[in-house]
Amino acid sequence: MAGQGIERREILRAMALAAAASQFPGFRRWVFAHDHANVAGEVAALTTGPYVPQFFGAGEYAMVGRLAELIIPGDGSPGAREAGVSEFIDFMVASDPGVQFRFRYGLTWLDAHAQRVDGRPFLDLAEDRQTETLKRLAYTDRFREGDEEGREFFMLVRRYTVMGFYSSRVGLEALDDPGLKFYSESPGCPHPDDPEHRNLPPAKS
Amino acid sequence: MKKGAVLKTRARVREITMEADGRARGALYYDLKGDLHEQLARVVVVCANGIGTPRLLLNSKSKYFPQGLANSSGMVGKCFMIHPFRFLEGIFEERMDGYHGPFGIPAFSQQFYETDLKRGFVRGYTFLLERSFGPLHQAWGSFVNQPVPWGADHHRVMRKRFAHIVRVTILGEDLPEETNRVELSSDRKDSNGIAAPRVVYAYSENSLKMLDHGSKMARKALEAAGAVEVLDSGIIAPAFHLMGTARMGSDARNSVIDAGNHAHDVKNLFIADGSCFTTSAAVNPTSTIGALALRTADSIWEHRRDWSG
Repeated sequence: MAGQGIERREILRAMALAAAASQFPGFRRWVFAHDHANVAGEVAALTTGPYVPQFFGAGEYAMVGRLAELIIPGDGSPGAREAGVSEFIDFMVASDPGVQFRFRYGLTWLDAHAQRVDGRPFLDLAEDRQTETLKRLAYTDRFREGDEEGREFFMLVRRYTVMGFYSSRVGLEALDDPGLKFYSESPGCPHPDDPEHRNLPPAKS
Repeated sequence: MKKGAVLKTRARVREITMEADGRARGALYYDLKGDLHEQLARVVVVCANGIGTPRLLLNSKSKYFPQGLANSSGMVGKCFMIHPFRFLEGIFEERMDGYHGPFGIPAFSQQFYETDLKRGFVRGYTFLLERSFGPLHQAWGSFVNQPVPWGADHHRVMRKRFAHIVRVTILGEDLPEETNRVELSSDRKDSNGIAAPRVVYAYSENSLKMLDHGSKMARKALEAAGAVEVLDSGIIAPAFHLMGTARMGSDARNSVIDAGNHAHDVKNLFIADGSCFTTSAAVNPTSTIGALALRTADSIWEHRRDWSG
């Protein structure tokens, strides 16, 4: 069966980590979409104060936020910024020593790269230059030899951004994903006229 | 377990040991701390999958079996099969909502399952009509490994694909070929110092033609059903199903076990996993492995004179 691939196992691992994140009280904006522990749908985890990064320094954290926003921008529908994806990434990296060096090194690489190419730190570049910088890391036909570390970092931060956005309440609401709904009991099949019902036991009333 | 079975977890078997009379004596295994133990047994059943089983047999060399346990035929590790796969996803304008509910295969077709030489290849494949997964899987590229683009196009493409996909998976039958094989690595070892397996596998011309035919037919079916765009994984080799490396047969010169999953060479050794398959068939193997395992249990009992003495 096709569902047994690496991708699925990797996603299950990532979702297990994200589920752990859902219990973290420090988030200001990022909210896990499937708060199974909280059937009423109320989120106790949010705080009103500003998010305090657990791993990244202030400059690094601002870069992570900007990268996430460039990867999934808002377009009328909310994007990574509205979903608070940078909070999620900071939490995930703080919780996983295995990726900390790659993130820190990657951010440093990107800033040095921006200085070398455009003479300014990444955050000081105009939006089109920022996007152009990422495109050169993202697309094979634009890629320049020597930028391998930058490409690896982009793939990493893209992965975490997508993970953060599509495990968040904001991200799933944008898709009207029914995974957000919780039922204390089954509402039953919405297609009672389907011929398949002839093969089912009668509904309990 | 009620009958007194003991399950030892986190035990990594290094080799099957031998008695002087040519019977299997038991297994040497490492526990989690790395301490070596020997488990004695009257009958040994190996089911470590199509890579793990040949690895263990090849690692169990003795003066009786210098080429590896139960390997007088030389076929242990040979004829490795994985099922050639190719995925095509059709994007439809109407909502398919395939991500609702559990994963499954609501429909399949074996129209192209049997040999038809006019197609240019032997054997064939099954079409599996499958649903899609959740948003994260979709955004990361799904089975066709084509991620939803980042940047300005992200939401537009995500809305177009998510909940609008039907997947056709082509599950092909690869032929047993001795060049596709599992052997022992000459330099790599696991953390207990046990030689690692080395897997050599390449799609044959036959498999490539089969996948090409399958992708054309899948595209045709999806477009006929109204797909506005079809995404194709292209040639990939995901090894979900591991088969063929301790093949069954009536002749001990070219097979490892008999029809009862009983090793030709060793009276009290049985092999009960996907490695016993002689051909791969274009279907998921788990049910057959399960059925053969039950049959092996009967076979062990029928052969009890061989191992209970």
